[in-house]
Amino acid sequence: MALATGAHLFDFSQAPAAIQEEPQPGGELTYGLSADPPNLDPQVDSGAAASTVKMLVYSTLARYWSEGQIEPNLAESWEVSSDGLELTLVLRPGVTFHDGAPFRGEDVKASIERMQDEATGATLQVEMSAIEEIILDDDMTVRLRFAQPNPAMIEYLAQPDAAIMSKAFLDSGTDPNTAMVGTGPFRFVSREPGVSTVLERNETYFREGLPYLDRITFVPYPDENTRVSALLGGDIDMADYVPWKDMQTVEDDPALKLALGQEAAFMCVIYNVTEPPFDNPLVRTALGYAYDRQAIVDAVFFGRGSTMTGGVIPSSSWAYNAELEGTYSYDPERAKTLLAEAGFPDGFSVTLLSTSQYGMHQSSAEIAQQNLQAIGIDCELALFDWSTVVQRQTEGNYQFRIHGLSPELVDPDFLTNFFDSASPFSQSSGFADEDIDRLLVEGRSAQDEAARKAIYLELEQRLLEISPWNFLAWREQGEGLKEEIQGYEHLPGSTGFKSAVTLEATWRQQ
Amino acid sequence: MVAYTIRRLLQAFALIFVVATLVALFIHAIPGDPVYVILGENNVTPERVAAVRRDLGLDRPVPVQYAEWIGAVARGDFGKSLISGRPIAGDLALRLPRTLELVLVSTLLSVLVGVPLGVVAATNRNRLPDLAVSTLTLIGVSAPVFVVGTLLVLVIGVQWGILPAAGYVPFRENPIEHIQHLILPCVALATLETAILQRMTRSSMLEVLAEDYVRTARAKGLAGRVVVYGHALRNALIPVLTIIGVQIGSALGGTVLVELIFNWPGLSSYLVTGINQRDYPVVQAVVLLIAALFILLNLLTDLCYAVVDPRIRYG
Repeated sequence: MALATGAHLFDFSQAPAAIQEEPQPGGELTYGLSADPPNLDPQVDSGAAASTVKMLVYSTLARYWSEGQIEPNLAESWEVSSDGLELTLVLRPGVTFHDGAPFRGEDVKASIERMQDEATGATLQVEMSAIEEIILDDDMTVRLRFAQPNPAMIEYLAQPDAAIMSKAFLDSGTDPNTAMVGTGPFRFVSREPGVSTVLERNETYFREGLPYLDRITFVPYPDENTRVSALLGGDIDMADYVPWKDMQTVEDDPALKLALGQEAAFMCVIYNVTEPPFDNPLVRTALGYAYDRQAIVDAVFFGRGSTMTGGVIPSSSWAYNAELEGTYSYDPERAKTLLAEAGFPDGFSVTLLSTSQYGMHQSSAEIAQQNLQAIGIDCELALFDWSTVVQRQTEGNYQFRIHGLSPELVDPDFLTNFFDSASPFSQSSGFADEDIDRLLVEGRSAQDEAARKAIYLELEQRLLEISPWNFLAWREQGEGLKEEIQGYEHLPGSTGFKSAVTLEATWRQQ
Repeated sequence: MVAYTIRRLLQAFALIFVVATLVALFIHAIPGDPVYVILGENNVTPERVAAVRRDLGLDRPVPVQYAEWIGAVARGDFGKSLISGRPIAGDLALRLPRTLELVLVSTLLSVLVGVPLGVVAATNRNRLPDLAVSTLTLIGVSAPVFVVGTLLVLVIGVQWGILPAAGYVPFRENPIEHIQHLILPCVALATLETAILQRMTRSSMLEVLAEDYVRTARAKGLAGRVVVYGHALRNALIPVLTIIGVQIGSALGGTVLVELIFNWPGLSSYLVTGINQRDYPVVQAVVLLIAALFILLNLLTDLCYAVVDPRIRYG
């Protein structure tokens, strides 16, 4: 599955490839995280910050690497059978776990079965349940059998949540929430809750010569301003999730630099389509012309982002539909006309749900509110803390809401989790469209890329036609780090959340 | 005195119990559900939600959950965090000393700086030292702790870089770095306390200095220093002592903002995270602990009062 070259996505002014120096082994890194990892189970998502730590200790069968491409990791190679129902993985020989035990097929089988087990609560439980059978042809060959073609499976196996754990470790009864034994470039040393999590180089890592760093100390800095201050003051070498308001400050600082990825995540408006006025697709489409997307990019993200005037498949994807750009634009007059056509010439009153806990959500909501007032819609904001918002949105207790999301996969099948009528999003917003459901299945089963691309074009056209969501803007995000830290790459697009793996090739100039 | 102490202790237990009940009621009453926090919003399905609720015992009626919690606490079992599954007692034991350290060091700082400045102001009433100090303390009383804290971080931590901007290093790991990290948060916390103590000391001293026995002491020919420190100050300190006791209690509350700004992994940041995540057992346990500390602190202050002032006797 090839990706279009990410040249226009990746911020080349920070490209480590431009540095002439040879990597120098040794040195330590202090990384300020946006949260303290609550627990260490690699197959159960406990937040992006925890993921950052886990993906350095555990490995997956395949992984995202430079420019967001999928490459072999614990699996040396793989192939899909001609009927699409079997995925055969050939495992890499000579790999050992941090406790010395050899890595073999039985570890893969045990790890997948653990994810399939409901009791584990694994993030990928549903996705892994699509695997009907796991056959070990021999110690180093694993065959996965599905009931239906599953082109996205290799991507799911590249998610950090699909971590491969040692069968011996799992059998021993040790609690994976407090101990970590993996095959990754770093091994777990210690953890003091709220204070630090320490990792050290894995001397027996299966990639020769890597990692370069001796040790990484993760320190939680939940408050973003404190985190940036610590970075600016030199207390930490690296910080994740640099707030947009501080990106210029970090960039201007001669001792620091940014590592950003474009189209990392997007802001959108999600409508509860069960009740008026948003049960009428014409109303939703009308509103698509009311939002000033550029204002959101400028005011909320300080220009670090791009407007979404077409579909949601990002420009870095092979399935990107460039012809859909410009479907929507900032056209309040048109919005008013369409609203009148829909039967609301005088507008209406609605409440927009958002959160006060994240600045970008609240600011986007405020801009949307202003845009709607301008076309005669009386819009009130309902701002709650995150917990309350999640509860209300899950219960469908809203008229429409602002949300920030990221495609889970590079493969366009990420649309299933968003728009399939059985997905949590659709369930809570009451959305169900037969055509979309059908196209999603067709997109999954079609065998070649050209056929799939045509299907996803039709799908996005349908989405834009009935607008269960209005897409607003992509945002850039990334890390701030000291100039002397080389070799770190923020992966493009949605794979940006998995950038921590590049720490294995990171070194510091000493 | 002993009877009084025992009576007060019994009252304290009753009060702590009331606080625990109120907190449990409040935290369950506010909207927001830990189950969604645990699952992550993208993974929510009705089946998963029901399963998690069952596992955590959240599907039982609130009075039942509460009764079980009170029973467990009486046995010393504070339960486990809903979000991380870690035993709460362990985290309390880890974090309490860190917060106490902030509170006690900042109180010490405020006493060492505030009381002498109060004496200086009182003995130089309406002259330059008094006016200068009073202006400073006016600022100290008016500036909110999060403004002072943030300014300290930006100026001393980031711009000048003489002390770390934020963070925590355990004492046993590196005593020097530990102290370096301790300074700014304690200064931020101490600012308000120092200002209040200075003003309290000043007004108390002025009252005492006007007393007859002070005039008598001076008439006897005692040196100025002996009069001020030996006689006046000791009497002036009695109300100040009460204030210090109250201050320690309110400093405990002030640590919420300080721990956030300075990334200090203490009890208050544990509480705030718990509230944000609707981690009911954590919130209940921390508030219970803080309430208990506060109530016992007040008791201690009252008892100290009796020790310091021989005129006060409790029956």
